[in-house]
Amino acid sequence: MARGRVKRLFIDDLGANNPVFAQVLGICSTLAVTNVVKNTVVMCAGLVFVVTLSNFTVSSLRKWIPSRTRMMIEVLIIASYVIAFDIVIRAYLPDISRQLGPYVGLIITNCIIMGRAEAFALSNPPTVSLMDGIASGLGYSYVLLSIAFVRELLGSGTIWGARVLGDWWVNWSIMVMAPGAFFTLAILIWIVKGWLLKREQGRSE
Amino acid sequence: MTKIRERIFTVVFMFAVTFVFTSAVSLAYLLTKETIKLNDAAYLKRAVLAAAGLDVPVDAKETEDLYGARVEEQKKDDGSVEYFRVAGEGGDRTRGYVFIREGAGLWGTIVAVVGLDSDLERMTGIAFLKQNETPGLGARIAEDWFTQQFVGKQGPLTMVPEGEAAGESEFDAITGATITSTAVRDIVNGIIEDAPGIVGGER
Repeated sequence: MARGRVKRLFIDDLGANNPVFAQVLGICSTLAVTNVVKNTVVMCAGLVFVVTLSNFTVSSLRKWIPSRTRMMIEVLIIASYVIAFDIVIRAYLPDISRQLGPYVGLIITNCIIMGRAEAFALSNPPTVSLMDGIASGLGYSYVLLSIAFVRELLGSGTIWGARVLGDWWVNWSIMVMAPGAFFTLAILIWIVKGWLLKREQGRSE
Repeated sequence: MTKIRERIFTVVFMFAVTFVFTSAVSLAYLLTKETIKLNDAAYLKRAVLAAAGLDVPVDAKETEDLYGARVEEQKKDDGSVEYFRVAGEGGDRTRGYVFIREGAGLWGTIVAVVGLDSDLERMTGIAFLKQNETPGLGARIAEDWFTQQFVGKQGPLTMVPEGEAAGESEFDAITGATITSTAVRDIVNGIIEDAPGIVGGER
C-alpha cells in the first residue's frame, strides 16, 4: 500500500497538484531568485532540505504537539532548519550566500513548507511525510529551474555562468528583472494548464 | 483538573521543543563561526584589491599573497583600519589609496570600498562589502557593468539616467533604483571630498 501511495504522491506533486503552477504557492522566491540558474539550484536545495526535514520532524512529533500551539511549533521547527541551512551556505558557499541575500531567510515564510506541514505532516506518519516533503520540494524545484533556465538564457545568454549564445545575441534585460519572471511563469502555467485541461476533457468525453 | 494538566503539558512541551531547536542552531553557529569570519576577511581583501584596480586572482592563496605584497593597512589609534595604501608593481611607490565608507541605502546600510589614484583625483574602482538592496534593481550596483564604469572617473560625480553617462564625472544611475544610486553617489563623493584630509601629510 505504502509504495503505491508514495508513487501517487510524487505524480501528484510533480504534475497536477504541483505547488507552483497548480496551487500558485511560493511565488515570492520564484520571482526573486530565478534570474540565474546557479542561485536557483542553491535555493531549491535549501527548500528541499527544509521541507523534507520539517515534514519529517512535524510528523514525528504530531502525537504530542498540542493543537493549540501547533503553528508555533511548526514555525519554530521550520525556522531552525532554515537558519541552519543559511549558516552552512554562509560558511561554505559565501559568494552564493551573498547573492541570495535575504532570500534564504525567507524560505521560512515559503508557504509550501508551512502548507505541507499543516496539510500533510500533521496527519500522516513520518516516512510518508518525508516522501511528501521530497516530492513537493522537487515539484517546486523543477518549475523554478525551468524558469531560471529560460531567464538566464534569454537575459544573459549564459547557462550556469557559461556563455552558450554567441556574440550575435542581444540580452533581453527584462528577463533578468522581476517582470521576466512574471512572463515566464505565466507562459509556463498557460502551457501546462492548457495541456492538463485538454487531457481532462479527453477523459470525460 | 485535566484541563490544568493539559495546559502545563503545552507549556512544558513548547519549552522543551524550543530548547532543543535553539541549542541545535546555536551549535551550528558555533561550529561555523570561524569559517565565516575567515570568509569575511577574504572578501574584504578581494574588495580592496578590486577597488584598487588590480586584477583579483581566483585562487584564495594568490589573493592573500597579492594583498600582503601590495596593500598596507593604515590603522587608527583604536586599531580599526582608517584607509589602505596600495603600492605599485615594485612594491615601493604608492599606486593609490582605498577607503571604506557607509551610506544609507533603501533597505539598509551600504558599505562600499572606493579606490583613488595616488593624486586622490581619479577613481581606480569601487566594490561593495555590504548591501541589502532590492534584487534585480538596487542590488545591480554590485554587478560588473555598474562598478566598472567608475574606473578613471573624476569627482565630484553626478548621476545621469541609465545609459547616458558621457563625461568623466558622470555615471549611469540604475533605472528603478534612484535611492540606491543616490546613496552610491553620496558615498563616492564623500570619499573624494574627505580623502585629502584622511591621507593628509603622510602622502
